[in-house]
Amino acid sequence: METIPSFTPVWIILTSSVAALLVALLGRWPNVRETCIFAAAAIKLGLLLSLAPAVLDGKLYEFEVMELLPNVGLAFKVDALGLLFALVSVSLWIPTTIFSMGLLRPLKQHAQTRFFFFFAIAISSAVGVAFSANLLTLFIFYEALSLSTYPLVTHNQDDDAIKGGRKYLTYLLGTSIALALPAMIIVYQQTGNLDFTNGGVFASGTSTTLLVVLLVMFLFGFAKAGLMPFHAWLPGAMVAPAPVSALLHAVAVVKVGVFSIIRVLTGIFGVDLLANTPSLSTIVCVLAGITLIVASLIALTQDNIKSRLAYSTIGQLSYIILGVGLATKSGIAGAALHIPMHAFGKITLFLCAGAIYQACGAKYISEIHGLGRKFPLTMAAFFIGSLCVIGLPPTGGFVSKWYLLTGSLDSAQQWAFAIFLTSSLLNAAYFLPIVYKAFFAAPTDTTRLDKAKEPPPLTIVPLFITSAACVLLFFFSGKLFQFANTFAEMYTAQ
Amino acid sequence: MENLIANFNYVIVVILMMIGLWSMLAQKNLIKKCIGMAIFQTGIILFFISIGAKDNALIPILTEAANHTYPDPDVAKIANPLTQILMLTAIVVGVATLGVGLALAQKIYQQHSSFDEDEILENQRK
Amino acid sequence: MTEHLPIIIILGPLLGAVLAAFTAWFRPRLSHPLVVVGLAISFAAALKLVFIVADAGAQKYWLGGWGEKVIPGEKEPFVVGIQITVDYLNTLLLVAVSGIALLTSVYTRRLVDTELTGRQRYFYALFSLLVTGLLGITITGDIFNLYVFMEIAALSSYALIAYGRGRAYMAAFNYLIMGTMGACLYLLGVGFVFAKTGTLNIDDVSAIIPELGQSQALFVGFVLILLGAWAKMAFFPFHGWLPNAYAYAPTASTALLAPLATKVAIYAMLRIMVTVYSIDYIIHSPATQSLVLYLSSLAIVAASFFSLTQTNLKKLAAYFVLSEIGYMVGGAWLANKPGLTGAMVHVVADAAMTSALFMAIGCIVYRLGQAQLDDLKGVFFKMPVTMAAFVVTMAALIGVPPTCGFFSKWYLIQGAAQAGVWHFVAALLLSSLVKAIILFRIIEIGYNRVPHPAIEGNPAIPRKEAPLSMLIPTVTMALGLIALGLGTSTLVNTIISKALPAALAP
Repeated sequence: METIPSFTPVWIILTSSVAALLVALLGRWPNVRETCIFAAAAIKLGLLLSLAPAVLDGKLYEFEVMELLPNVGLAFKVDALGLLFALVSVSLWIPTTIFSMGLLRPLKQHAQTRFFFFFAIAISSAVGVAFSANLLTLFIFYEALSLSTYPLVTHNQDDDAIKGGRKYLTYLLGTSIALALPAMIIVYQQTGNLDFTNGGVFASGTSTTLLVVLLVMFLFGFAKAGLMPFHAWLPGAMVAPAPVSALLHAVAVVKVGVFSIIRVLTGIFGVDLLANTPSLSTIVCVLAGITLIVASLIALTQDNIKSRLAYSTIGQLSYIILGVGLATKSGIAGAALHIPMHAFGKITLFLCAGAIYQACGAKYISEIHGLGRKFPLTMAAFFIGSLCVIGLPPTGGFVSKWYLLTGSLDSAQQWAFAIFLTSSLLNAAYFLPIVYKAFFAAPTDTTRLDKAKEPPPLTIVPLFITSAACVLLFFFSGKLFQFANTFAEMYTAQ
Repeated sequence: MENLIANFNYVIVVILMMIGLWSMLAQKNLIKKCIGMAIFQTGIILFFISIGAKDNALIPILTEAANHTYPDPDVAKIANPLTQILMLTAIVVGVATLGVGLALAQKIYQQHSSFDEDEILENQRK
Repeated sequence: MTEHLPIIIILGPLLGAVLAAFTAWFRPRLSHPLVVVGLAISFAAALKLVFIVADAGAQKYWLGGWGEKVIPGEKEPFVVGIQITVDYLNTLLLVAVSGIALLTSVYTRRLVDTELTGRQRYFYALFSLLVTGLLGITITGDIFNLYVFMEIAALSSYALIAYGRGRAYMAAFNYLIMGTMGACLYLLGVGFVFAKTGTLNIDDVSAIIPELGQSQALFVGFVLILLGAWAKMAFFPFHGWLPNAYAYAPTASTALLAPLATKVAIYAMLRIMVTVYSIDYIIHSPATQSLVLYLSSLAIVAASFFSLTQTNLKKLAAYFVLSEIGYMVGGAWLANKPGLTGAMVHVVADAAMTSALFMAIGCIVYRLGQAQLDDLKGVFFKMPVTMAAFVVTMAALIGVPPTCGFFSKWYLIQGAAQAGVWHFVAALLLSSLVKAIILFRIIEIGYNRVPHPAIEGNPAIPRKEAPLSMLIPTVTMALGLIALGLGTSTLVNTIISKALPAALAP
């Protein structure tokens, strides 16, 4: 594996931090403020794409900023998975910012500067996680993300927001400090090293009990991945404004959790260790499988649109975890590929939910009967988004679920195949009726429907961008798959 | 028993310290606490001095001989000066602490008209 | 000049105190500048010494030139004088103490004028005297000299606390009783050590003790010294005096006492454990070790729970101090490399964190007039910079990277995991979570529960930030926490790792 020392990863992270500072300073001129954000996002995207060719070739960009503890420092390493995640986060930052402008400006919402400031910091933290070369750096940016998203979750500052924010922090900070931190320290104490290495860091012959305990601590410690029973923060965080839910809880925050678990499973434990120690991979698969099914079942019972989407997210995250737990090349590749596919699909769905709320104040599925006739394009976007999450062609979700299914057949956990299929059926069961009712059911509340006015273009345009992307991803999935495959090959090769 | 008698200095020191400690912690009257503190410190001072004492020891002060020089003393016959000096310091510290303690007790009395700890705490809660 | 730097560290504040007490008589306005100059000289000397020690190793200095005397016929030179040493163990603490004292002396000027109007005459003299005592404890190489400086610091602190009037008198009296008991126990322990070894010089005692083997008297001496140090540092169960003393004392006094007094006592314990008695002594008494570790965990957990029920900011902070003490004592008694490293890093880190905390609280008290939690509504809008510093400090206490609190906690947990002392790990994590709960409670009260002034129709909340002379030290301290965190690795590699005894388990 060739490594290229380069300061670019740090530049990429710094770009959004500098943008955050500019936003804070220039808050009084909204248009200038927003231009800074777009400029920063464009620069970041450009820098990320410049790294792509070498990374796809199997090379790595590295940079160590400083040593923080003996043998462990603040260090960055860009590989295919990190780059993929960073690309997803940054490219979705742009439509979300447009959407936020559309949502917050007409309502003359307070504290928009604060909103955009912490948003930019959150993006920096997410990219920081993506580029972490060792567990310590990952933990630092993971915590930074939890703390910087708190003001975003509690943005509305009413009682619900405060309660939701409290739950958010309790789960995220509590698990990371009580479970992930000691697990990390124990790994360090056992092995003296926290770098993500192909093949893991544990010496052969480490006691399986210790490995199992550490595995469980990590799986639950990174509660952003939403493994049950530490998933309750996700529905609780739905008090946040729609763009926050969209980007952070469909893309950045939850994917950071899942990303951390992928890094731990492939870089600290090692794919080989997982494959050869049945207890380890069984635990991962069982925990993920339970969450998958239970979350999908709960989603069926939710009438609140955002809650249903939240539980759907919890389920989809476990797809990714289950995929990695299978410890096979196509399983890992499928899991990695599901990150962008689900991200685009879910963000479309959340943006639609936000647009619907803005248009007519409807939060519940029972309130949107017949809405499709008034806003056909919005509901069409919703339909495409749900197809992507369910995993049907011609959307990108189909490709990732395909690889996950193949991966399960290759592995020792063949029952995962059944779990994946059942869950996809459940996904269809809780998404398609929404679309059906919106288009074909008689409206229950005609006054609401009549009063509904078209959301402003700033809100609608991002929807179309992301839903179009869902379809485009299907046709260009090969390019994305290259990323996933490079990563999978690097970490399963010996 | 012979052991106790032979080490009577340690026994006395321990008794004094226990009296002082009990006074400091268990007594309710502030002045009695201060007195206990003084007794405790005195016990410790006696301890130090007693370990430096010798039978028929001479005072550790150099005496001038006839030709205005100070001959080297016979160390074995002189009481250990170091412990005595250390205890001079300790006595000074003890006196200063006692002074501060009594000043504080006086201020407390001015406020609450009582030296009793229980009454003072009740007074404070009002 | 450089060979006299060790004594300059003490002389600066000592002379400052004497001169300030003198001028307080006829020209009180001079006391403050005199004290600040004295502390600045001391800080500069301490800083220079860090670099000298990092290069050349321990610096030993004989007070007054009374050094060793060679007796004809004896092979070893005989120690006659009092030695002060600046070595790897105390050089960082010297900088921390003098630096924090310097910042606090600038910081407390306004507070003293408001809280102690009419009585400020001798305040700065006592301030400087306290710092002299603390620096003396840190730098001395003689166990009796440590007692002397300990009492200098103690007497000054009783007076500084009593400035608070009202309930502070009783609090100061209780502190006096407990503190004197501690000092006397320490003195008794020194007596035992002296009786057995015949010398008071730390280097000599540490050389003689291993030769004496298993001695009951030495063990008793060790226990007595330890009990004395524990009473001074408010370690469980001798902690009763601290919450009241720090809460009722004027904020100006607490700003100096809280960060420094207990940490220096912990340093004294470390010095006895590591240098005088050598760490082997600890390792060979596992029963004592596990007892102390249980007490530490208990101290941490109890202090954390008590802090949850407090409504007064100053008492809350006092309970935080109590829990941090548990960290350091436990870390030291783990007696392995990461544990001791963690304890030593934490001594410096906690001094900085506590200082920043009390400075922020002092700013709030100065502007709002009181420190009750429920009355903090809207404080984030009234004093944004102070609260930003407060949040950074609380983050450090919780242990959020990259602040210094994270790294010291890392070493402590690593040491405990290595030694298999899981209750200590659990206690550390629990206290982090409790502090996080309290921080977010304060954020909710101070920020979220107020109608946001930027929304039209809501009452405006005017900004009333603390004055610059208070704000700048607070912000400096808060930024210092982050700098200290990032620099922990350098500090550990260049200085702290060399202070660890060579025979320690890795």
